[in-house]
Amino acid sequence: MSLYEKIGDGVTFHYLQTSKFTTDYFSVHFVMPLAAETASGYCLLARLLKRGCREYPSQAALYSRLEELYDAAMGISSFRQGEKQVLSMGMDVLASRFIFDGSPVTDEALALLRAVLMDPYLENGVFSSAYVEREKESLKDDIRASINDKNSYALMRCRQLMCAGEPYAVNTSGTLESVDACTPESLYALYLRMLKEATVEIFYIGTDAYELARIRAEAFSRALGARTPKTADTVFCAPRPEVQRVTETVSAVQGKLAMGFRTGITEKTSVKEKVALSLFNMIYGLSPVSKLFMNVREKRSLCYYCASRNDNIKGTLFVYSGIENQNAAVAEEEILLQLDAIKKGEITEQEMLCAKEGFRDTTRSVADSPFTLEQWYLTRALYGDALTPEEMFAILNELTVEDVVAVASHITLDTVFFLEGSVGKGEADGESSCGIL
Amino acid sequence: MNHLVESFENKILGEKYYKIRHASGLTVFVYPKNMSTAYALFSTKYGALERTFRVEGETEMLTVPDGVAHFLEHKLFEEVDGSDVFAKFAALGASANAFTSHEMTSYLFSATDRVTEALEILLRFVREPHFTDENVKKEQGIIGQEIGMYDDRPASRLFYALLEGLYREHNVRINIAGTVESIAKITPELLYRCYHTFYRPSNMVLSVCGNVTPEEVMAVVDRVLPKEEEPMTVELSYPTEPKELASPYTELAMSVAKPLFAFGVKDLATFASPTERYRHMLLVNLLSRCYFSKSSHYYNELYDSALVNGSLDSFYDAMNTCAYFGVMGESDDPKTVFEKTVDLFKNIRENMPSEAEFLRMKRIAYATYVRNFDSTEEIARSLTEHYFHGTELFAASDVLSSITYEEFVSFALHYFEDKEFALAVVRPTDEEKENEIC
Repeated sequence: MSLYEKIGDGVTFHYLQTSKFTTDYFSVHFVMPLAAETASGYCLLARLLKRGCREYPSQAALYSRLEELYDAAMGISSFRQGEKQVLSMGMDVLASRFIFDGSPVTDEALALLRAVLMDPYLENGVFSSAYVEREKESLKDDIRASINDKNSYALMRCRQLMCAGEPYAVNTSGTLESVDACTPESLYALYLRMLKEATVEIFYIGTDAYELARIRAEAFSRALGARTPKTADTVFCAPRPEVQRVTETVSAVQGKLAMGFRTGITEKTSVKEKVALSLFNMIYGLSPVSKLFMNVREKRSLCYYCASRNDNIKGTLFVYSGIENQNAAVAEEEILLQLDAIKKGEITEQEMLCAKEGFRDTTRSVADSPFTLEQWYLTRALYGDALTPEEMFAILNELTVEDVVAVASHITLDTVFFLEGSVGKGEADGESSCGIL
Repeated sequence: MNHLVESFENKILGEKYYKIRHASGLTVFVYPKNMSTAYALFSTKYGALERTFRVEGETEMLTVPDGVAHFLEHKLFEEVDGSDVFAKFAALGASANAFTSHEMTSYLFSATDRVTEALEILLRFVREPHFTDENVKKEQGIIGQEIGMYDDRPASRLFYALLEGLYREHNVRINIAGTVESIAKITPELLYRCYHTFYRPSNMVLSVCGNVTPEEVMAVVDRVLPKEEEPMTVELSYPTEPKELASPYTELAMSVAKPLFAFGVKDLATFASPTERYRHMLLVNLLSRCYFSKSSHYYNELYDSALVNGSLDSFYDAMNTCAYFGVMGESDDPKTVFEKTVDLFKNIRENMPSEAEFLRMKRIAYATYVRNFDSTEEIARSLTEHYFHGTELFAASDVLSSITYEEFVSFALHYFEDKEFALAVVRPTDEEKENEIC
């Protein structure tokens, strides 16, 4: 059984009944516009809420309590999707049949989650300055550490360069400067604003009956108080007339290529066209039978990975690959050649079949974890379509090569970012396991 | 079915799995589970550690170049007729992959439909090697780039730096993918030799978890695997590891923002039975959680004084031929964190976790164990790992629940007594430091 309904101003409750899992899962998501002025603040809020609440005022006390509740897994994080920033709080609790002392763990864990959200640890009416200072330092360390993973760093730089001036360019963590600008007072004001203005999505995924789950969700909704939810529209941009090229060097062995494309999505793009773009991406670079994998890696041995990802909220597509420095131009050429092939309709029956079957597999497996279920319906809420996995697959399964060619024809290269490795070939190392993909 | 079948049942989960010994010598686990995604793992007890061996009848021990097991894993995806294995899986909507670790090599797929068809593809491609000069050469290019990728990953470099500091002789210090130089020595003949030595059914295990029955799985196994076992004796040789460290401190420079550190000890304990070893592993994990979990006073003290950023990840890898315990993290002052922690462990009597803390850590271990049953992937992996280590998945929770606080305390008092700690640090390159100042 799956339901969703509005239970407050800007508050939607999603209910999915299942007894498949060993846990009951409850989560609350605050969805805000992504903006340079608030990104660091929301990130810091996610960290501060985890530091403690009035009743359990330190991280040690709060986590000790969670462990007593049979290691109730409380996750609080902030992430971006399209031009939205989401602050998510989740509580994953062992189902009652696994609780050997019979204590009402789910209710106690949810009471704790509500306390963490609504009754945070404060000093002089605002967040503790010691906690704020420590979390600011820690977040700044994380921002600096974004260079550690060269592939995601290259993708981030490509996105920033391509979408400069749009909210999309903003990082979830913000910048060192925007972290510095946060104070206990400004963060507390932002916290109050979030409670009042964010769009809120509440999820329950577990065995309990709808009535009981709804009562729990309403308790959260009521606690938020009077609300005036605010939203912001996505900014849609045309690709730049001439491709932007930027190269940076870094002390690394391998070069990382990141290519940013605009896919031509606007507010008028239909659901069918968006689904066609997802099918395009599956054929182009999402799987080990995709054109990029089969050609850039298997045929030309240029790389270990070459893949693509698309964002249908914003209308972007990114291709990324780790290559030898001198192969950057050849790899780029091959990547564009494969895109052109799709634009010309060179899609085999086998490619179409694999992409559709792969998509079917993905949609069917959504039901196998509370987290993938939540992710699916949260994403749908952000898209504003409420499609079930089955409905989405039904649309996709009807698509033809012509539909894919039609959406591919709008895909235009905008920015090429190359992170050039400056280290010569040295002694190599591995990891605790090495795979084929 | 004409096979030896054992079944194992867990009353709380209300689930049951089967262990079947096939006539070919292959061990098969089937865990029926009501999930959309089925997961199958076909593994050989052969990983990067199996470097020196001799097959019965041969006079000399053979030592192979580093990275062969992993290279072999990549190359098994090559088909005799030139067709693409990934495409065969993809046509069913299944996703295939493989990985090589120190102790095993696994081939796997997940699928939500036509599971037995995918299973047949899996068994067939692993059973049918096809190595040529040309396809070996092609793979040297791809794996060369894979090695380059790991080379640029600070955590990967750090991990091996720690192992190189801990171990003087054991193969665990050698990286799984090998080096560009070592994989250049690989030939089709060598791959065939390793394949025929280690990919015998009696050295392998198949674990399937999902909406399938033992009968369905065994029908496929019967079709693909030989009807009888071909006995073969393989003698394996592993270097003897001394108690002393290879190097107490290793440092390397990479493009990172803040120093990363890893420190640890090697654990040379030997055990009367696999269950005893498993119990030992649980005890080490309980002990390390007491100091490094988010609720621990020690971790919070390090975090609040800004000695560490983010979390401290502790790990205990217990393999059949070696074991080590370590902690990884990020710090501006790794040496102080290291010294404080060594001091803590060397004076563990004064820092002994309370019974309440111990019980909380036991609850974490119990909850983690239960949660793993929500994933067909975790179940298939656990079945395989328990089998290779001589233990049993459902019995594992009994071992945990039988550990008392008294046993824990006496274990903790002595664990670090005779062990030397090694420290490895990845520090920022000079360029990185300049960027920081600018």
